Amino acid sequence: MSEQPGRDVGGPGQTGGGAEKPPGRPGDGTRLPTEQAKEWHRALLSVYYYGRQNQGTLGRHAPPMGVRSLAYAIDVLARAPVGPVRLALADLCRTRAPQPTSRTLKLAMSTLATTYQKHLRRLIPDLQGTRLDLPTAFEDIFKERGSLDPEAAYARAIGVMLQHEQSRIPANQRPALQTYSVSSS
Amino acid sequence: MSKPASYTGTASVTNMHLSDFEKSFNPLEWPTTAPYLWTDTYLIKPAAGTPSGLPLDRSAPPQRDADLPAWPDRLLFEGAIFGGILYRNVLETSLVNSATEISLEYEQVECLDALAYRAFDGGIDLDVGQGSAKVNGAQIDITVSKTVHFTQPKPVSHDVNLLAHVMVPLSFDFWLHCGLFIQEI
Repeated sequence: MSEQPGRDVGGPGQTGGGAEKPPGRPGDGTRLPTEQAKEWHRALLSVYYYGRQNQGTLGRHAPPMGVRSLAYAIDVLARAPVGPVRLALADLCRTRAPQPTSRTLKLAMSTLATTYQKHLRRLIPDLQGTRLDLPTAFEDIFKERGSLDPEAAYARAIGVMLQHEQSRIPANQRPALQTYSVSSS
Repeated sequence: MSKPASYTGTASVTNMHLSDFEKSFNPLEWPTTAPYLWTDTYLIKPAAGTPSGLPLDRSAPPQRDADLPAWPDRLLFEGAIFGGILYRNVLETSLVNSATEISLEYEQVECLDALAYRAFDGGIDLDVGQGSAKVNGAQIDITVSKTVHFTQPKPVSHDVNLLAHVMVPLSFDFWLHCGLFIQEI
C-alpha cells in the first residue's frame, strides 16, 4: 500500500484534548478517528454490550475485544457530548427493565442522568434557572413494582428526554415515541 | 465462519415532521452528528478506467463528488468506526427524499481496507440494509434493517462479528435519536 497522510494508524496527532481535530484531511477518505471519538465509541459499545451480554449469540461467547467494564464506560461518557449520553442512558433503562432493583444500573443511570441534566442546561437556555431533577425523573420509570418490558422502558426513557428537551411545547403536541422494537432477523 | 448479524428495528412517532428525519437517513450528515461512529462519508466521483469506478490502488482515497439532497444509485465512501477499527467501505446507495418518504437503501460494493494496528485489505464481505421514515396518517413510521459480516482483521474477526450484535442495534438507535433530538454540533 502506498503511504498517505492520515494512514499512520495510532501515530502522532491522535492524543486526547478538548479541541482535538481528526487527523487526516476531511472529506477525502484519509481521516482517522480521534482518540476521543474512539473512547466514546468503546464506552457506548460497552454499555450496549452490558445489556446484551447474556442474550443470543453474545451469551454463548466470552466478551469480545474492546469491551470495557460498565463503570469505566460510565466514567468516559460522563465527559462525552449529549448524543452518546442520551444513547447510553436510554439503553441502560432498557437493560434495567427486567432487573429494576439492580444497584449497579441504578448508580450508572444516576451518573448519566446528572451528566444529561448538565447538557440540557447548557443546550436549552429556557431551562436555566428552572428546577431540574433528571436522576429522579429516570428513577421514576422503575418506581412501580415488578419488572417492565425492556422496549417499553426504552420508550419511557425517550419520553422523559423529550418532555424536558421540548418543555415549551404542550404535552399533547410534543413529539412522542409511540412504538419501538428491535429484533434479530 | 460466524453468521452475519442481521437486525430490524421499527418505531413510530407522533407530532413530528418527516423533515426531522432528513439527517437520520442522509449518510453525508453522519460524521458531523456522530464522529464516534463515522469519520467520513461522501459521494464518489467514479474513477475513469476501472469498471468499478474505484481507483485501482485501493489504498488511495476515492475522489469526492458534490453533495446532493437525494440521489439514485451512487457510490458512497464511508469511514466507519467499528470496535475501534476503521473500515474504509464503499456502498452503492439510493437516497429518496420526497414529501411522504425519506429512504436510504445501501449494499456493499467493496471494503477497501480495515485500519487497526496496521492496514488489512478488505474487511467486510456483507453489508446491506435500508432505512426509511414514512408518513402514515398522523404518525411517522421508521424502519431500519441491516445485515453485516466482517472478515478482517482476521485475528480478531470472531470478536468483531460478535460486536456487530451490539453495533447494529446501536446504529438503529442513533438514527432514531438523530430525528428525535437536538443534535449538538
